[in-house]
Amino acid sequence: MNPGGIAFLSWKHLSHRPMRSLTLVTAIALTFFFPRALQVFISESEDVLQERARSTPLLIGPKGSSIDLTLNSLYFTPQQLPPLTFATYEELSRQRFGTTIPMHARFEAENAPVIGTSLAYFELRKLMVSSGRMITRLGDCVIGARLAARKNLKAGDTITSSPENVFDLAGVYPLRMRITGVLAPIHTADDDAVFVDLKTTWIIEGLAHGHQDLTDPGASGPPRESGENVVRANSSIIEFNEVTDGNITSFHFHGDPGTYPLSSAILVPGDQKQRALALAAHQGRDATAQMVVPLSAVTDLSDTLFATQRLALAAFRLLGGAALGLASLVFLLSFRLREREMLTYAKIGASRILIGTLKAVEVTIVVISAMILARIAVSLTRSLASDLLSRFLN
Amino acid sequence: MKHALPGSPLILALHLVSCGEQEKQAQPHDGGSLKPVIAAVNYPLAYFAERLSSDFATVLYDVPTNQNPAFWEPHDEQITAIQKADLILLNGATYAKWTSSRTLPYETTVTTSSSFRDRLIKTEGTLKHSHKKGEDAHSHDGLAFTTWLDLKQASAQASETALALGERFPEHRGTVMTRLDALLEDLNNLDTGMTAATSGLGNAPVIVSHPVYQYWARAYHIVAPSLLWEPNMELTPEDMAALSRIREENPGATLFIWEADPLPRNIEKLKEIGLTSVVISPCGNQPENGDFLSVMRANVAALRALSN
Amino acid sequence: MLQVEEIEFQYPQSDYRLRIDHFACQAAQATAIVGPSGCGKTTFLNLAAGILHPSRGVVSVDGVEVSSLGDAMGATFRLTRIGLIFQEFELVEHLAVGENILLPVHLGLRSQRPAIEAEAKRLAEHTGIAGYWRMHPRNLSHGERQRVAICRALSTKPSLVLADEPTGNLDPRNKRRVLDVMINTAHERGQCLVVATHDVELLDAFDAVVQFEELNQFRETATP
Repeated sequence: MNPGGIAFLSWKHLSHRPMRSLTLVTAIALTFFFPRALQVFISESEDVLQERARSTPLLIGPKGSSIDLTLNSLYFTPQQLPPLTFATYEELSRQRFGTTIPMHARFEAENAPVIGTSLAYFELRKLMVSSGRMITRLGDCVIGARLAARKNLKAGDTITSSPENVFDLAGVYPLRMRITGVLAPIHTADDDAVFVDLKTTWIIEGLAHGHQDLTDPGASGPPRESGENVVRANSSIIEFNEVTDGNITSFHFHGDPGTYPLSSAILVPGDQKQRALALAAHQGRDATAQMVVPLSAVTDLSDTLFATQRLALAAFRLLGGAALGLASLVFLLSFRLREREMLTYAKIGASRILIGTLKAVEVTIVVISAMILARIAVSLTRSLASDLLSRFLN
Repeated sequence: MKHALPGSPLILALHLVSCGEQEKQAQPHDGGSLKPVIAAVNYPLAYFAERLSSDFATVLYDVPTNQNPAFWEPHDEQITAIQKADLILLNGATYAKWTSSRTLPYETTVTTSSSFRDRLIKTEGTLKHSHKKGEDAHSHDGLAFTTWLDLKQASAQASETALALGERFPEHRGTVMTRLDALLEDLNNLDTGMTAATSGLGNAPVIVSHPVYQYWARAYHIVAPSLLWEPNMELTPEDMAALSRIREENPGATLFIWEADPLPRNIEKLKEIGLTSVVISPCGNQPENGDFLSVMRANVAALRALSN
Repeated sequence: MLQVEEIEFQYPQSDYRLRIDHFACQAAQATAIVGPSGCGKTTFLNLAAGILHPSRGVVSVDGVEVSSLGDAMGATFRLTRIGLIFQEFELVEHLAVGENILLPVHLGLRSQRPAIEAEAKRLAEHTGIAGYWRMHPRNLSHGERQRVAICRALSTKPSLVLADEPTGNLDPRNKRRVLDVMINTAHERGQCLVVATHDVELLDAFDAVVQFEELNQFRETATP
C-alpha cells in the first residue's frame, strides 16, 4: 500500500472537477457550520449582551417591557415605548444616587440611530474621539466608527435626521447636523450611532427651533391686535433646519422643559449603598416609570435565546442529516460512475483493499476539508459575533 | 484670552504660560503639577471661585472685557475647554444665553441660584408672537438675571459655590469653608452698606438706564423703572421723549442710574431736566480696575454720597 | 515466462467456454496470438494476468501460480511482474500523460519511482510522446493514447507483458515503430511478450504466432 500514492490519486480526482468538489465540501461544511455557528453566536451574544448590561448598572424608563427598554437603551433598537419626562430625570439627579445619564433614542439619521444624551455617556462607554472633536452645541453630532466608514463620513460633513413620516408635515422634521468628530471603534452598538446633545433631539422633536427674527416685517403679518405688541408669524416664516454660527442665538425652547421626553436614563451608582438606595427608592413607587437592572433583563433574554437555540439546533441537525445523506448519495453515484477507472486500477495491480482505501481517502479529504472550512467559518463568526449582534438588533 | 483674576498674579502667570494649549483642563487634583479648573459664566462667580479656591484651583473665565457675559457667544474651542473643567458655575435665571444652546456636562455643572429659584423675577417681554394661527402668543423674554445685585442673593450664590467646591474637592473643604466665612462677611458688609445707602434715598423712584437692576430694586425697596440706554450713546429726542414718559409714569424721580460712566453731555442733559446721574455698576464682567468687592463698595459709596 | 496448463474457464451465465491444454511463452520471446474479434483472446490474456481465475488448471508466471493467488497477492504480483496493455487503453482521464504512465508507482511501487520514471521517459522518447508528458488524455489522438498505455505497461520492466491489440489504432509507421519497441524491449530485458492481435501484416516481427482458435479446445462456442 502506498499512502502517498493513494492520497495523490484521490487529490487528483477531486481537483480535476474543482467546482463539484467545492460544492460538496461547502455543502458538508454548512451542515457542520450552522449548528456550531448558532451555538457560538448565541454564546458570544450572551457574553456581549451581558458585558454591555453589566456596564449599565441601572436603567430608568417608562413602565412596560423591561427587555424592550433594555434593548432600546443598550442597543438602540426601535421600540414603541412611551416617553419618560425630563422632570423624572431631574428628580433622579437630585436624589444623588450616582451619575444620571439621559437617553433619547427615538430618531434616526439615514438609518442610523440618533442618540441624544449627555457627555457622561461617552465616559461611561469609554468612547473617545479619534478624529475631530466632541460636540459643543445644538446641532452637533459625533458618529460611530462603523457608521463613518459605511457612509464615508468625517468631521466637517453633515448628516440629516430622517422624518418619521413623510406625510406628517407638522411632526418631526429633518435637522441637518454638523459632524464634529468620529469616535474610535469600540465594537458595540455605539459604532453605528449618531450622538447628539439631548437638546438637539428636542429640536428634531419640534420642541425647540430657530427662526427668522419675527420683528422683521418680511417674516410676519401685521400685528394681530392693535395696542398690543403681538406678532403672528405667517407661513412664510423660515424655520432653520440647521444650526449655524449665524442662527444659533435664534434657537429657543417652548413649554416646560420638565415635560420634554426622554427614552430612558442610565443611573451609575457610586457604590453599592447608592445602588441599594436607588433600587429601594423606586420599588413600585412610580406608576409611570420603572427601574430596571439591565443584567437581569438580559439574562431573561438569554434564557429565551437558549430555548430558541435548542429548537433551532434540532432543526439544523435534521437538515444536516439530510444534507449528509445527500452527500453520501453523491459519493456513491460518483464511485459507481468511476467503476471502470477502479477496474483499471485493479487490473494494473490494486487490491480490493487498496481501492476501498482510495475511495475512503477521497471521502475523508472532502469531509476534513469541510470540517476545516466550517471551523474557519465558526472562528470568523466568533470574531464577528458582536458586530453581527449589533446589526441584528438594529 | 483672560482666565485669571487680578490680585492673583501667580494664577495669571500660570494661565499666560498655558494660554494657547488645547488641552489644559480636567487635571488631577492630587497635588500634581496641573490644577483643577473651575469655569464661571460671569465675573461675580469667577470672583467667588477665586476667593474660595485660588490656592488649589485655576479659575477659567474667558469673556472679553468689552462683552456682556450674558450675551457672550463662545466659540467651539472655548466650549471644549469649559467642558473639561472640573466644575462649571452657572448663574441661573437664564443668565448666560449660550448655555442653553451649548453642550455642557450635567454632572459638573452647578446653578448657583438654585437656592432662590422660586424667587426669580419674571420679565414680561415687550413683544409677544405666535408661530402659527391658533397658537397662543408668547414672549421669549424670561427672567431677570443680574441676581447678585441683591447682595443677600450674592451671598447665597457664594455659599452654593463653596458647597459645590467642597463636594467636588473634599480634601479642600475645610479651607473653602474658612474662606467662605471671610467672603460672606465681606458680602454682608456690602449688603448692610447698600441697605443704609439706599434707605437714605427716600421713597422716590430711581430711573435706571438698563433693565438689570430688578433684584437690587426689590432687595433695597426701590421703584426702578427702566430704559434701554447705553452710557456712551448720544441721546436723541426720541430717547428724551421716552425718558419723559417714564418720569410722567413715575413722578418724583431725581436719580438716574447708569451701568457705567456716561458721556459728560449725557450727565449735563439729565441735569438740565433735574436728574442726577449716578453709576451703579452691575459688575457682570471684570472691571478695568479693582475687583468685585471694590466695585460694589464704590456703588455703595456713590449712593451714600447722594443720600448724604 | 508464462505457462498455461489445462485451464478451463466459463463466464457466469454465458455459453462461452475456454479450454487450453497447454500454452507457454518463454523469456525474451514475443508471441502473437491471432484470432478474429470475439474469439476469446482478451479472456485468455486476463486469465494469464490472474485477473480472471480458471475453474481448473494452472497459470503460472515465472513459476508463480497466479491462478491461485488471492486478491491482494495477485494484485501485487501484477503490479510488479506483469505489464498490461488494454484494448481500450483504459487511461485515467483526470491524470496527465506522465501521471498515467507512472500509475504503477502511485498504486504501490513508490520505492522504485526513480527507475520507473527513467524508463518511462525513455519509452516516451522512443514512442514519440515525450512532448505530451503534462497533457491530459482528452487532448491526445487515439494513437497517442495507445502509446501512453504501452509506455505505462513497459515502464515497470515487467517479466511478462500482455498486450491486447496494442497497434490497433496506429498508422502503419507508428504500428511498426511501437511493435519494434515492444519486441526489442522484450528481447533486451528478457521479457515474455504475448500480443493478441488480428493485424496479420505485423506477424513477421514475432518469434512465434499462435492461432487462438487452435489453442482453445472449445472453439465451437467461441463467443465470450
